[in-house]
Amino acid sequence: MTPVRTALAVALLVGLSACSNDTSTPVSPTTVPSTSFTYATTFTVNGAVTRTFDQISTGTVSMTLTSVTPDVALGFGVGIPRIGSTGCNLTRSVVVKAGTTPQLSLTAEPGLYCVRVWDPGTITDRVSFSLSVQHN
Amino acid sequence: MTAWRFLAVAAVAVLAVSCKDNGTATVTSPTGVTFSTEYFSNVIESGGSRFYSFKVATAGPVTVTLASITNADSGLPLGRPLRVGVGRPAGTGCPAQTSALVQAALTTQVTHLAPEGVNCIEIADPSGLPGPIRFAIRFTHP
Repeated sequence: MTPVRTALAVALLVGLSACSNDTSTPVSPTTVPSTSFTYATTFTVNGAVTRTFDQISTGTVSMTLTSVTPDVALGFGVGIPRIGSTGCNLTRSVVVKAGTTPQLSLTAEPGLYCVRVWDPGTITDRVSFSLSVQHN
Repeated sequence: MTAWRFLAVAAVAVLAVSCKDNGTATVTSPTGVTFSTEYFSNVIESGGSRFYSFKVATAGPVTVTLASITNADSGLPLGRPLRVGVGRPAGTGCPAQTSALVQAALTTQVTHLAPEGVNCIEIADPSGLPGPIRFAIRFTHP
């Protein structure tokens, strides 16, 4: 394939990807998460925990609850921190058991964000979890 | 220009036109202007509204992100929209010059070219969500 044909093929592929209406589909390389952290801690009945992270560039924030002990469903979500407190104003959330594929993904612009994990009424004692967060 | 080169240029041109956002203005920031980020968070009752005034130092784009709409009691996200608008305070209200009905997201939903001086952001529940509703807005302005 000549360089010009290659350029045409790339242009068409990039263009078709960018024209997708499916917001969950990455539309450019900038949406691919480039860094990650694992949020692992414990909490008790009716409890909740929150931590913040910086998103450096626009892209996908993708979260996976990778382990929960004991094996129960937990609630987790992402949002922006509450000013003057330790809470998290949630944008989206799910209630799920541990899994191996992303359970919550959305696009975020640069800024300070928070993740929150809580007891949706499923735990009877202290629970420990690991939440993998991939972001830019 | 060869046929392949012509096709390549034409394809890129067509894609550039067809991928323009519908109804979304592209705002180029004035160079050398400092932008501030502010937050506006509070609770509104079902069918209610609130507004917040802020000062724009130099005319330029105000970008607004309605990052959170939750049940004020449970803190859980509500998958329903609220109306967000930007304008200038008048009397006891904030008549919006640019507004949109949006669900919570972490990307800019409203962009408004604001004049220098006092401007305002209004949020309203036009559909009567089960309240009270907590919202959190992040916005930037020059």
